[in-house]
Amino acid sequence: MRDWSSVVRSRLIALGIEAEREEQIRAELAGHLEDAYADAIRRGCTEEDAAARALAQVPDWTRLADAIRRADQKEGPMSPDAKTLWLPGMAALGCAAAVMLGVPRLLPASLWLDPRATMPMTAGLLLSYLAFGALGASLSRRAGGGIAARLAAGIFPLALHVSIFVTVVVAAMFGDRRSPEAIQINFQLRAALIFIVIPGVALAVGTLPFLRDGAKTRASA
Amino acid sequence: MASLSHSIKRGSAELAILMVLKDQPLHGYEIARRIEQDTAGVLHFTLASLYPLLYRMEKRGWTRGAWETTSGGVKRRCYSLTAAGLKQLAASRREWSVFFRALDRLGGLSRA
Repeated sequence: MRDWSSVVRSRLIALGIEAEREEQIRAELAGHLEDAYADAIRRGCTEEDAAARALAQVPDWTRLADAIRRADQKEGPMSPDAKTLWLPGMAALGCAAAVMLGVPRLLPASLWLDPRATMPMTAGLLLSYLAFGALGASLSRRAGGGIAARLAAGIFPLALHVSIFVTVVVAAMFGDRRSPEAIQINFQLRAALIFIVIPGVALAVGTLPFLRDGAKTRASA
Repeated sequence: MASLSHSIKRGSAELAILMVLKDQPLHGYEIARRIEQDTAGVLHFTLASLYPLLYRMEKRGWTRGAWETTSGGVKRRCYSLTAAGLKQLAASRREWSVFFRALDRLGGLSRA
């Protein structure tokens, strides 16, 4: 009976990882060689031939050590979800937040009260949300995100809308400056339509061009 | 059967491992044997090709390794699929399905 542990110990250079983990890996590799050897014997090989077959599984022990060392390390600082969902989503959300904060400051107050400006401003905002949806989805696709991740990254700015909406509605219902109108369900539904549903639809529509070509992208990968 | 190219083998290796682990936990040598048997030798893992892949998949949280005593009385590290591994298996299956359908559309693989 061969001592496969000593074979591995003598051939596999130090992996430079945690000692206990390294011992486990060495024991596991020795077990594999032992099984390969026993299997070859069962198939009728001589002991010499069986040992040679087992050892032939590792043509280069140094390369194996390098490969194991690399595989045993954590893969980069970012998880796949961070790359395909959170970062693209945060980029889209950041743009939406910039628009939400920047537009009221940049445009004169009189413009908000001018009925003639309502349509162009609404159209501009919706177009910008189409672009943010497209931005989130395209960044996600570039990072290798699936269709669900691309859609989620594209509509990510809705998180900001929902959090603001809930805060405002709760404050209006229970805060010091309560508004009787805010308690009415019709008002809340109308506000939700304007502040959540319409921007959400714009964001979702913006993601569409980056959802449709998923099959082509993956097939060409 | 003609051998598949190295790149296709490499790309399909993770899927093959996930697929054989779906049914039951296996240790490394069993994984290699099962894949070789079930693919009539088209996919063939050696120790050198298998373990770096297994460790990488474990790091990603797709598999979980645990030492167990086999029926032969020896200790082996057996791998089982985690919930993340099952999710990855479903995603990989979809991707490969799309890939092969695309190739089929391109060159009529199913009629080749």
